Amino acid sequence: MNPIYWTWSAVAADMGLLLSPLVSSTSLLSFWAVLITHALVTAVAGLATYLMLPRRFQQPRLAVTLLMFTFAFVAPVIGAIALLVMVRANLRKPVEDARFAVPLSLDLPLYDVQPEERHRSGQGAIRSRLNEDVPSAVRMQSLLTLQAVPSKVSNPILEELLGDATEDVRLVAFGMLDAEEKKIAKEIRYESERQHRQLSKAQRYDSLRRLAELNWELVYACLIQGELRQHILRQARAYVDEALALSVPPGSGLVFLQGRILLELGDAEGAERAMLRAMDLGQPKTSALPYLAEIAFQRRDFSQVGLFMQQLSSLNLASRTRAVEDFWGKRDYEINYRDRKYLPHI
Amino acid sequence: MDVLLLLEGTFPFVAGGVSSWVNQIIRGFPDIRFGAVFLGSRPQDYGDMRYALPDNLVHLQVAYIYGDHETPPIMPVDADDETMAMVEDVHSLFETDMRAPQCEHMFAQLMDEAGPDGKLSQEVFLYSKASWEYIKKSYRRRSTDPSFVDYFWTIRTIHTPFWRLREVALSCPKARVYHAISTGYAGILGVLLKHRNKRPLMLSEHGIYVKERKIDLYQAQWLKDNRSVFDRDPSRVSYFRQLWIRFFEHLGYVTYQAAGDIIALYEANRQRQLQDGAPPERTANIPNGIDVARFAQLRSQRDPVVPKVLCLIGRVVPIKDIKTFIRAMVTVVKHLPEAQAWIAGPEEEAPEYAQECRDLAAQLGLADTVKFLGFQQLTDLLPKVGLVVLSSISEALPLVILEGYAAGVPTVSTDVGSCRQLVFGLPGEDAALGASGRVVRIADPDALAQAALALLADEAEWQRASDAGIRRVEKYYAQDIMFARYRALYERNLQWQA
Repeated sequence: MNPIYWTWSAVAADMGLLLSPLVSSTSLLSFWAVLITHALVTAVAGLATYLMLPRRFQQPRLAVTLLMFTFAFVAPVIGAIALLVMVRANLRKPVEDARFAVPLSLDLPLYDVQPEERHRSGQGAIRSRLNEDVPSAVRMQSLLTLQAVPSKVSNPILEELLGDATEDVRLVAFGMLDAEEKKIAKEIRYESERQHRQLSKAQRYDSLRRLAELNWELVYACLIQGELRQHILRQARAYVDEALALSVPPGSGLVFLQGRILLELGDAEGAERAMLRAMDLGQPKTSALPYLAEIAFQRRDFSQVGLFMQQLSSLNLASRTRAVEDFWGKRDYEINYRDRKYLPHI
Repeated sequence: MDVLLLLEGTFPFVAGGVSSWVNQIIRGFPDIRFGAVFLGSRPQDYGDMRYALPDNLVHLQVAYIYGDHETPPIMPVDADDETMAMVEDVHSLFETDMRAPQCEHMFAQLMDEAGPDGKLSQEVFLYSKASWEYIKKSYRRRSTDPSFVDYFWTIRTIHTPFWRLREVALSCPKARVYHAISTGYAGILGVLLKHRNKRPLMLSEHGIYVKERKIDLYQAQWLKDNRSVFDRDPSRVSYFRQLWIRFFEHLGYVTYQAAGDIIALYEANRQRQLQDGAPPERTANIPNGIDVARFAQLRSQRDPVVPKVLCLIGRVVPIKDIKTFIRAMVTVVKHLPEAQAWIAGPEEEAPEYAQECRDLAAQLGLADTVKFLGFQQLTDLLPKVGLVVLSSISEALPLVILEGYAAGVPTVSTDVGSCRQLVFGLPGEDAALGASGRVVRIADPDALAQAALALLADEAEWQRASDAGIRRVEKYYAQDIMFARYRALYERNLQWQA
């Protein structure tokens, strides 16, 4: 029940007590009965009005409650009513103030933002701005710039910065790498859990392909090194093998991925077979031929490299591959340098 | 009360290095009557107390900066011109990054007016036209982010804790010395208490609060950046990020100006305090110390053969980078198949991260090698351990390394905080004791594994490291040394007369 009703009930009870014949009785028993009943009724009124007080007036709790009680006790009925009036007035004041306040129409400021001073850097400048002899504020800014650079390029730089002498730089670099790794690991967990469910062959194939791609992504984005890298590569290969063992027509992308994983694991022959098969399955030559050339190069079979490069010459190539193709096709003239960016990244 | 400790997010509700240190300090001075104020963010962020309260802790006050306290009712209110001019003066000092030592007094005087009946009550900040005009003016003058709405709410959020801290300062019992364990909000509470009660303020920093906040803020995803694609320059930190960073830098600076003694755990941290504006003559280093005798008796319980157990002792939280430890085990078990990795620490603080660690162990086929033991008594654990491993990305002066040394266990640690100093010693006599383990780069599982293998696979090398560790901890990191230095500081400050 609302405390205000408790207070009014207490006031009514006190009033009833005052009008009762007990008050006019002269016996000791009547005196005690009146006193105790009045004390009880007053306690109710005191507690109820305490609860109605704004929170900022409720401390210290015991002292305030006692004050309320005493006020109501020494002045029967009138004391409790006075308490109520006081509390109501207090409660109402801010509401009344707010009600009668004249609303102001505040004008929102105009969008007159000062543009930042621009010192845009090309990607090539970032590495030099990360050197340890550069002021730390500049280094931190450059570090943040790496967020806008493809992870394949930025991660090796971040990886180097893990050994930086400045703790801030180390930790921000770690945070950036960790956030990326976490994203991939989350997806790996999701797909791994899916593997335990009842899946159709096609669904299992897709899930295994996804797992292989995600593990490969850890390697490709340079998020893992050393022994662990080899371990993840072997795991990726296992997922590809498992997917290919399912009697589902394989996509060229998965076989191409198999080739790249095998090449990273040092199995050049297996990689070559996979690349050729991927092309048979429809993998674009622009993506598979450079790897085939690389494998031939590793074998020191330079004439074969030339043949693969020749096949590339008529295709629309990325500028970096075009530079290599020009070299093998003996078109590596200085005049060509101006037209292309050999290293569009760092 | 003799000393009132000002704690932000640590003892007694959060377990960890700083909390253990606070517990150690209170118990180490049974003749001093301590009090403590715990400052938390919100009540729901903390669980039960993690420490039994020492008998000489005579007062514990818990306050939450973003708790459920009432916002004053909306009402028309006028601001005093003189006070607003003072507000402007203080802000222009901060906004222009001016290092003015008087800022401590200016700030404290401003906060004197921040009471419900003062000229700078919260109502004035929230509802006065002058406050609105000042926010508008500041936005026009300084903001490089186009959203005024975000600017307005950021300013409100940033400033709100000050009124709360003032309330806490008013309700704190008087003490003869105030001792903050970090800058930030606890430090500002110390500034207010010092100003109000005219008693000395000490500051002991384990990590550097400003640096830690900065790193968090650089990576925070919740900060808005409303620049258009044409304006957005990735090399420029967004305005609100800068605003928050500057805010914590200034909290640190004001605290450094107010503190009479500024203690760091090791020299690199002291240098960082100087860089952040601490007056050099007030700074000193007091390294952590441990109860060596308690752990020394464990040496006799050790098996003569070094157990091939790598143990990471610490909370399972991201800052400990437990994943790197797990990843390192791929290499370790390849060369030492019987090796085991134990992770001994509570997991409640970041259960999601703990699960990620378990999943990683399973994903790497290490479910039988990596054991999650939960919280363990070190006296039971250390005799069974071959190496104490610390893969953290950030630490100050970790007690677990020292405790391992005292029990005869060398360490492999990442190169963070004072770990290099703990392993190789400071130049001179300390370094002459030899290496008591290995130090590797952070987040480098291969290096961590190779360092661990170098010690575990070579008993003679392990023994040399163990001996060096024992000698180092006995000579430089016994708790008596730390207590003696703090006693001198406490006595001087307790006797201070205005």
